[in-house]
Amino acid sequence: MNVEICNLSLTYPSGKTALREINLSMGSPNLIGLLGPNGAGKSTLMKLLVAGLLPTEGKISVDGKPLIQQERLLKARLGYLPQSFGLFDELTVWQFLDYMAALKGIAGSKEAIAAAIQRTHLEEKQKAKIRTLSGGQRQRVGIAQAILGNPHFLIFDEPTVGLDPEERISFRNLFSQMAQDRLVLLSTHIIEDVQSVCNQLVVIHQGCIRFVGTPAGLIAGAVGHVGVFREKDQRQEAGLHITSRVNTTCGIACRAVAEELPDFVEQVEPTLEDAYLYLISREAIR
Amino acid sequence: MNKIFGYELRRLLWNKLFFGMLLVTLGYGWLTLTGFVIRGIAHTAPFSPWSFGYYLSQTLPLICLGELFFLAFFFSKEEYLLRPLIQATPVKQRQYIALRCAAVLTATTILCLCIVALAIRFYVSLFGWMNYGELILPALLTLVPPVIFCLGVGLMLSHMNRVLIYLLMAAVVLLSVLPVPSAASFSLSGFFSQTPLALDTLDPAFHVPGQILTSRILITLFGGSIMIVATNGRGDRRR
Repeated sequence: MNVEICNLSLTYPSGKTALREINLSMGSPNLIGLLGPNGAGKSTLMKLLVAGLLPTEGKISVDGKPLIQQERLLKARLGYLPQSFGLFDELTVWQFLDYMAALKGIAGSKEAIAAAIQRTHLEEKQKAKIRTLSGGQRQRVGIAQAILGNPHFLIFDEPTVGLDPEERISFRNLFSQMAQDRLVLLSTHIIEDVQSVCNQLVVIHQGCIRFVGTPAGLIAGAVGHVGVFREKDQRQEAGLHITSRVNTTCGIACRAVAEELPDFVEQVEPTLEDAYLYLISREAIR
Repeated sequence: MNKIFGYELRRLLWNKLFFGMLLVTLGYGWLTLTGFVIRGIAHTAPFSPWSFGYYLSQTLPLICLGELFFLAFFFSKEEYLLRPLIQATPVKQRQYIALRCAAVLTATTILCLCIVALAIRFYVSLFGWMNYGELILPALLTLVPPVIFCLGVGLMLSHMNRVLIYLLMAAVVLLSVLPVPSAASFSLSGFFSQTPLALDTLDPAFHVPGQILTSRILITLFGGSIMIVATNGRGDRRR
């Protein structure tokens, strides 16, 4: 499956521009991480990809054909987990997945539901009413409905929110496995999630794409712009974007990114988080 | 789609809201039967179509309120949060809305049938009366047009703003108590309680004047048209 986004813009009726001139090409198999601060336009881009919103300009093509012309065809091959979603509280997990399978027109729904339940570790809760589930378990039901019927294109908006570290790792592995033969788009704030599984990164900021490439490519761009120093005077921090402060016996150890590092800052190897923060802070200054 | 319909109907029926509405409507129906209908309405027999029609017209506002509550259930905030998941499936939105309307209509029909069954049980146990066929026309005349009207207008208003449905509930209650000419009446209570008095015979046979019939057909057509328009609306994609 190939998805092409050409000069895509979206301006809300209020006049607020959520996305401007987005160009992006995605093809399977691939696991693409979508990074960006709050309000950058990640969720809006995802809504456009599932035809939940219509662009004001530009177009999205799926396998060479405009999305709008083959919306139902795309949706038949789509698994989507939005950032915030509701569930039918009065149904059991199994019933809810059965309902979603019927909406998706999945043939052999029993097997598909059983597989989704097994992959999301909901076996013990399959007969439980959704209203009795914890936040993390509800999130797992959300993921289960998205992967129901093995869709070719998976879109996850903040899928690991509310999950404990063990579950997060488990789902990261699941997304990675699924991306072996399909296209997976993963939006998250958790850099760790992206670093461990994504082979391609897209960074969005203020409605524009700022970076497209591999995690290594993003890190390479931040070499020479990340350093550490011991804080002695608050004025030292001027012009630096502090990414961490650790209290030690020898004072406060700071890690910072900057366009040009001052002399008192010792250069260090950037992490993906440093590189991301460097990119965003640089764009913010511009 | 049968499976979806089954789930939607089950969600409506296996619900505190439905049981609550059913209990309140049956309770009010029983009070109407034992308090007014038992004496016969407008000098007609308690089991005459006139008395039965009056009984239905008294319970109609509660039936319509029940229907609007079912509709409000489908347009609640929780259901709104589920829309992104539904919209990402290949099912046509209009088909999905129509299906939910069918579920609301079925639940309301069950509510109506329970009310009718209560009256029949009352007639049989008290009077040994079993001429059920006579009740079909007043039942259709009283219940069908308002139920279709409320569903259509309620659906349209829900698409605009879910709060408006509560205003419609208030309007339904007002329409039922306001003194309006029989032909324009929502519940037809005046028609059932006054028409037999204007006729010179005792216990007159039930008949529907053309004016009443026309107004009921117009109410049904209006509600049905609004329902079709609201169902065909594709929803607020640019929300």
